[in-house]
Amino acid sequence: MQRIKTTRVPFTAKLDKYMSEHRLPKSMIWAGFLVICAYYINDGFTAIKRLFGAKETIIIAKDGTLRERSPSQWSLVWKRYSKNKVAILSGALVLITILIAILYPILMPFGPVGIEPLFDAWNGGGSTTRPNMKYPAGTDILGRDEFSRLLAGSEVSLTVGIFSSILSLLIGVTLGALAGYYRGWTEEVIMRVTDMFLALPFLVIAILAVSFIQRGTLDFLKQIPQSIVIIIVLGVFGWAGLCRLVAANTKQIYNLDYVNAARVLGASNKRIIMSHILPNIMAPIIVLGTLFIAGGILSEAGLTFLGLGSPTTVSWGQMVNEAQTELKHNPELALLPGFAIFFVVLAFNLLGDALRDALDPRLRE
Amino acid sequence: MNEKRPLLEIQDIYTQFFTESGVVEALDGVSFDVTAGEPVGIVGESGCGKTVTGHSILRILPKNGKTVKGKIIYKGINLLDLAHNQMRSIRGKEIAMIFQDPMTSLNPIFRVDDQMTEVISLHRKVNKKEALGIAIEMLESVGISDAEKRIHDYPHQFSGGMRQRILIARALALQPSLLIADEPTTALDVTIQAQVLEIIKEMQKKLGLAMMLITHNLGVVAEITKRVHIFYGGRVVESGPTEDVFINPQHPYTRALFDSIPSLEKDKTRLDTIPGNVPRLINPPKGCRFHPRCKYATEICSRERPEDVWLGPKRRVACHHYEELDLDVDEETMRERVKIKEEV
Repeated sequence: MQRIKTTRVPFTAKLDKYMSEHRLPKSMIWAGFLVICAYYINDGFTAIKRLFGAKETIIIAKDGTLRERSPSQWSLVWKRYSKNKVAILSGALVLITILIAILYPILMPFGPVGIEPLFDAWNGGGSTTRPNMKYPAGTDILGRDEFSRLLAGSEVSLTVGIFSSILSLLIGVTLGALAGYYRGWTEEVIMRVTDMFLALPFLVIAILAVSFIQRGTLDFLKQIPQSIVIIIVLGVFGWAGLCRLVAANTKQIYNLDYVNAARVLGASNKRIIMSHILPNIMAPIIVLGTLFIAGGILSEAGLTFLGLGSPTTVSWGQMVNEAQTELKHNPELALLPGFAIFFVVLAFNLLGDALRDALDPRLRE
Repeated sequence: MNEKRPLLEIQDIYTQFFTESGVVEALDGVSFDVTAGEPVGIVGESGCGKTVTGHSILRILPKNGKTVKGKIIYKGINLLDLAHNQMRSIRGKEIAMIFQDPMTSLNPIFRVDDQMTEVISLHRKVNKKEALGIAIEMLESVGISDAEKRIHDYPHQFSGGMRQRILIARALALQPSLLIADEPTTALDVTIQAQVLEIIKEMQKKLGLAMMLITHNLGVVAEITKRVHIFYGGRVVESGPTEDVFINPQHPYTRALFDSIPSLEKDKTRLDTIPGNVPRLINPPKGCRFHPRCKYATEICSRERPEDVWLGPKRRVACHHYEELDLDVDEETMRERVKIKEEV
């Protein structure tokens, strides 16, 4: 029997593949990487500090005296945030996940869909093998490297989580601000629609929507990639709670004197909403946005687990789904992606909590 | 016509609020005018329509409020006819307003420089540096020392008096023709009140701007204004030159108001008060709105609304019985008044 040799793919080859798959000019990636490196080596920690607005802590007045400039809001937030250990931990976890989701084509040892390990039984490959030196998380039933699939799965999870959250924020904040600011029939219409969306059974609608788009009679809909379908479904059906929150907060701010003062100075409605009301309710929006990411990741995993994913996309929910038949013999195939979902969702939830504490204006020194 | 047209003419305005429990007739035929460069006082109890008048002029009433009748003529233009964007160019640039509570009138999350330059860049085409220069200049003129440095601070780093100064500076940054000051000193300490009043007075003289000082503090009115309008229940009950009104009040309400000022000279143990409460404006008393609390009230008072009686070119009172109350006035003035009345 001929032994099929699978060696580790060289780094540059992997990069080439990544570039061709993602259609990014290679030179740009390298240039960006070098710029970032130079920036951080040059300034070290001050670069990070500068990022959070601690730049001009001392300003020089015309008469030559030095005076401390009052710190910006974001630097105060960062100060409170960095004191919180859970915050740092969850933030780091989220950052690592994001890095993995971006860099997984370079980091993973094998392809996420390639079945080469199936023919590598001599070196610990094959179908449903235990974790070993060459395949750190074992291989799945089709003989694909589980570790590579775990890394690759982060991309779909994060993309779906982040973009569905952004979509929800766009819809929810816009409608909420309009309802809270203009009141009257505008509010009435928006809030009733919101009530309607809150009353919809989300899971049923999501399953119906996804299966209609992917398996329906309209061919052009099938062209849409599966993750985009899930993003749209999650975003379009998830904004209602946020809309209520924003509307209530807008109403509260609307009655404050400084909004009236801005109006008296001749500011337009748009300006009042954009630069006086929204910045003041940014804290709950950011917090809820973070929690929405966690919710999005969970929903995506749930939907793909229920079989709405396509077998060709690598996602944690899909992996758990496929591992069902092997639960008895290879529980790690279901447990590992399960834990991945668990930790990422936990990290985002803790991040939301930490942001809530850091952004709370009542704790302002 | 020799005489200049007044800067602001308010002609018989009716402002109403449509609430669940009924229509609140907050302003019921208010008329008065403000001449350019003239400080005018608006005096009255809480809920008598002083603030609503200010808000009606700038058209910043809450959603359920509307000026249903009347004209507000500013420099020959009826403000009630203007489109929203035209009104926006009036606000801040032509007519500015200061609010009662300096603690909440500045946005807590922006530095003072941003909030000062906002109004300047909204109405003038200036770059950021020029706007900042104007802002610093204005802060200095209202007596904030170190303005150049302190302008980069957050509102919460200033005291109440300082914030009110900032708000005054912001309101006057574009040199408006009219300033509406809505109880600018009510929320401040007594010691700070004097300073802020001094600044308002000074700026008013320096910039020669007309001012509507809304207050319930008669001392403040005497200090600053040249003319005063006494409000009661959404109507102007008496108006005239401040001195004249203070020395020789004509309306029973004005009299009662002055009687209830505690005095050090009179030997009294109890404060004089006006019996009863401010009328609810949802279902206001018919006829003269003051009649339930007026000790001179007769049957006609509860039936007919008193018309304005002109006692002089800028002196008027709205009372059925004002002549009968004139106990302190000598005969000669009395005759003169009758003459003026016949002329008008």
